[in-house]
Order: sequence, then C-alpha cells, then structure tokens
Amino acid sequence: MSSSVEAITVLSSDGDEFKITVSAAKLSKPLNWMLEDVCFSDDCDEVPTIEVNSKTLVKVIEYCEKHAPRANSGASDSDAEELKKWDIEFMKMDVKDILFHILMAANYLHMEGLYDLACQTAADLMKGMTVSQIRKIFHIKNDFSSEEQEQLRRQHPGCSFD
Amino acid sequence: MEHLVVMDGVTLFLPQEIITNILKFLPVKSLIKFQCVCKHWKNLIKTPFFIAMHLHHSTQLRPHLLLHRHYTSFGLQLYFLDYKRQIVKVSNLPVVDDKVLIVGSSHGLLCLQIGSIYSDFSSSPRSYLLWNPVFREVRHVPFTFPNFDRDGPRVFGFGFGFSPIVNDYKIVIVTLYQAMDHDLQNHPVVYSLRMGSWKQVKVGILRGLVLNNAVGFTMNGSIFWLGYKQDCAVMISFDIAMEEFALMPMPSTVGQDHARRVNITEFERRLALLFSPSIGYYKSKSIELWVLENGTGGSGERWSWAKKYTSSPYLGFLIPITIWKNEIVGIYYPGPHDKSHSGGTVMSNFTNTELNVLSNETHLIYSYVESLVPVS
Repeated sequence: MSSSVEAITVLSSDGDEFKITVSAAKLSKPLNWMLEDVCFSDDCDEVPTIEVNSKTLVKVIEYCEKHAPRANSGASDSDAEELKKWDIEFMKMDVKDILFHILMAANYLHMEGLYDLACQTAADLMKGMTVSQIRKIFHIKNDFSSEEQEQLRRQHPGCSFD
Repeated sequence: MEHLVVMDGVTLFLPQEIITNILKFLPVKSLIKFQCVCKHWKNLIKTPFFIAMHLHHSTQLRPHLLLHRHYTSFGLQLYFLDYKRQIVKVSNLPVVDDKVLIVGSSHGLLCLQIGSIYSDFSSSPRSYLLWNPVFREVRHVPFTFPNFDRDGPRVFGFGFGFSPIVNDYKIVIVTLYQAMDHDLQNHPVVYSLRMGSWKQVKVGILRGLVLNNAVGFTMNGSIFWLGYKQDCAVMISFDIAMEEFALMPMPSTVGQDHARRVNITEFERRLALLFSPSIGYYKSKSIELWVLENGTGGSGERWSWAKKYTSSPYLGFLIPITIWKNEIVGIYYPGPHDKSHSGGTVMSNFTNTELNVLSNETHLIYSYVESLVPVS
C-alpha cells in the first residue's frame, strides 16, 4: 500500500464524484477493502462506485472525516465529549429527509459507530410517536384482528392501536 | 413524519434487520406501546434473541439504581434513579407490605421476600415474589421447603441471580439453625426458576462461617457475600450453575474489624470492593476501591486484589454502597464537622470530595436495568 495516496475519489450511485481521505475511508471495512484492491496500484485509474446516493454519501463522508482522527489514534476524554456533541448536531441536520438512507448506508458500509448513532436517533424520534405514525413511516399494516386487539388491551391497559 | 422515508419520490423500506436494531434502542415503556404496531413486532419483543440483545444494550446504555426506603411505616417505597439521575417513584407495586426485603435484582427482575426477617427473627420467610416492574409481570414463589420451620431457622444470606451457563435464575437462601448438639449450622436452599422447585444444597465451605451482609451481590453467574470465619474476613461466592459455595481471599488490609464497612460492587466489569478504612466514627474518612484481578503468576495466586483508587477524606462519614457511572453511591452522615451537607443518599467521584445529594433519605441501593425478561 502506497503511503503517498492521501485521498481517493469515489462515485456515488447517482454518478457524482466525491473525495474521501484514506484515513476516513478506513472507518468502513468494505471501503477499506475497496481501496486496497483498486486504488493503491500505481496505474490505477478506476474510480470505485459506492451504492449510496449523493445526498447520503456527503453526510457519510462528513461523518468519516470527523471521526477518523479519533478512530485512528485514540483520543482524550475531552475529545470524546466534543465528538459526542458534534454527533448530536450532525444528526439534527436534515435528519427527516435522509436518516433512513444513512441507516442503510451505515449498515451496508459496516460503519458501527454511524449505524448505532442513526439507530439511536431513529429510536429517539419514535419515542414521541403514536402507533399509527410508526406504521406510516415503516409502511406496516395493522394485522391484528379485533379479538387480538381486545386481548392485548386487556393485558396492557392503556395500550393503543391508533 | 412521512418525509422520513420518501426521498426523490422513491419510498424506502427498511430491512427488518435494521428495524430490529432500532427497536433495541427503545426503552421498555415504548416497546410495550409499539407491540400494537403489528403481530411481527409483538412477537419479536418476546423472542429470547431480542430480549437478550435489548438487555445487553440497556445494561450498557441505561444503567439504573433501585432505591428502597427501608424501615418506614408507610408501606413499601421503591424509587428508580434513572440514567439521567432523576428519581422516579415505582408505581404498581405488587405488595404494599412494608416488611419486604429485596433479595436481589438481576436482568430487570426483582426478587422480593415477603415477611421480613428483620422484624421477626424466629419466623421463616413466607414467600417470594419475582417481579419485572416495567413489564409489570409478577410471579409468586411459595416457600415450600419441607421441615424448614422445625428448628426455627434464621435467614442470614440471600441472593438472586442468573447463570448463562444453565440459562436459569435462582434464589439462594442461607439460614442458620441450631442443630441437636446446639451448634449453629448453615443451611442453604436454592430455588430454580426453570425447575420451579426448592432444594437443599451442600453446606461445603459455609460450615462454621458467618455471613455479614444479608443480600448478596450478583455478577457473572455468581453471588457474592462477605463474612468471617475464625475471626478472619472472607468473601464467599456461590456459583449459580454448579450450586457450590467457595471461599475467596480478601485484600490483606481488610481485617475483621473493617468487615462491616466493606461493600461488594462492580468496577469496569470486574468484581470490586468499596472499603471505608475509618477508625472511629468521625476520623479519617477516605474511601478505597479494590478490584479483583487475575493473578500475576508470581505469587501463585489465581486472583489478587489491587487498590484502584483512594478518595480524599470526607468531612463526614460516607458508607460507600456501590459504584454507578464510575462514581461512589453511598449513605452520608455529615457529623459535627460538615455544616454544608445534610445526610442521605449521595454520589461522589474519586477525584474530589464534592457530594451530590440524590435524596435526603437513606436507602438500600441495588443496581437495576429495565428489561423485557419475563418472570416465567
């Protein structure tokens, strides 16, 4: 592996080009393998495609670049504290539009930190929702019969199907 | 919220694997609510796989403490200290009797003894309750051990815990009774949730041994008590899977005199001791934290104790009970030198002697985590 390469270019599923530093790409195992396979031979002119759309990939790369220094070298407690605050802010941006896409991307790219962060964010959003709001966002049909609903109500007084 | 899944006009369906992982992050209260979403979700949160995953996650993310206000005449009073350090009163208690002892707290299940041994030494316990307070499930465990009352036993040790090896929860009761030759003898009995029955287990190393603290500390499939044998402070372990007692060494400086100021806890996933080496009630009030480590080989010992921290001395008297979120939780008595604090249940870290008063009352303190673990 050549040490002279600091950043590489990848393509999103929409065909847009993005730069990602090697240290940031190391946060994802599949990305890391991709780099080793494709991009570190000297005569490499192939640009690898990542099956993530542009809007999501921007966010994923932003996360990687922020977390890379800590992941690669370890960090002090104050850094960890700062990073936690950054994560919260990061997840506040445009979450409604792309949170699920980030979940899919983090899962596909084996990025444990981002995956858990996105799951936690989704769970926090869900806490305030009603059952019917949950069904709507996850595209789930209410498949309980009226007898089953009645039985659940008896077991857990106050539970609601709406 | 429908914008969450619609982007560029394309609807995104999350795979079940991701949905399951999101649900893992929800508190029990929300999961009970979302049972009504669909049959799959309702069944999912009852699978052993999901229950275990959720438990593991909640233990890391949302460790609670359970505070039991003891010696009151107002009936049973329990509080959760949640991970945000808020005190919440536990509602829907399965009993109102104040003569309740918490035998243990494990994986979100509490084991209660009904009919306290403290107020009435000559009586044997009447029954036990297993209770998941957030899932609101209760199971009665009648105390049916034959001939138990014959010699007027007194209960001196309790424990409740889980062993992953046998995948079973067990209640352990150690009683002391007077034998025919007037010697006091330990008499341990164990209840297995899986078997649904009580049985007597071997006395083994418990012979001639006195247990100090009534309620054992459960960790990694074993229950631990402090006690002494022939004037020597010892730690006793009970292997929940093997149903055997064993003796463990104590740090050399923890003599019998100090034994009553020692509490067993957990620090960085290892067994630990909180030790108040004060001599006299209002002198020298530093707290020591000792951690059980693997033997280094040189001494030939399998285990050795290492002193991790010594706190600065406190103005008053702090009885350290447990470690929670890397801080000491204990009961504080301000004494004549501390004019700025009232007593009660407090938290303090090891780097300074600042006290964070959690409650002005004194409590019995247990670790606790919200879980979906069923009582049957």
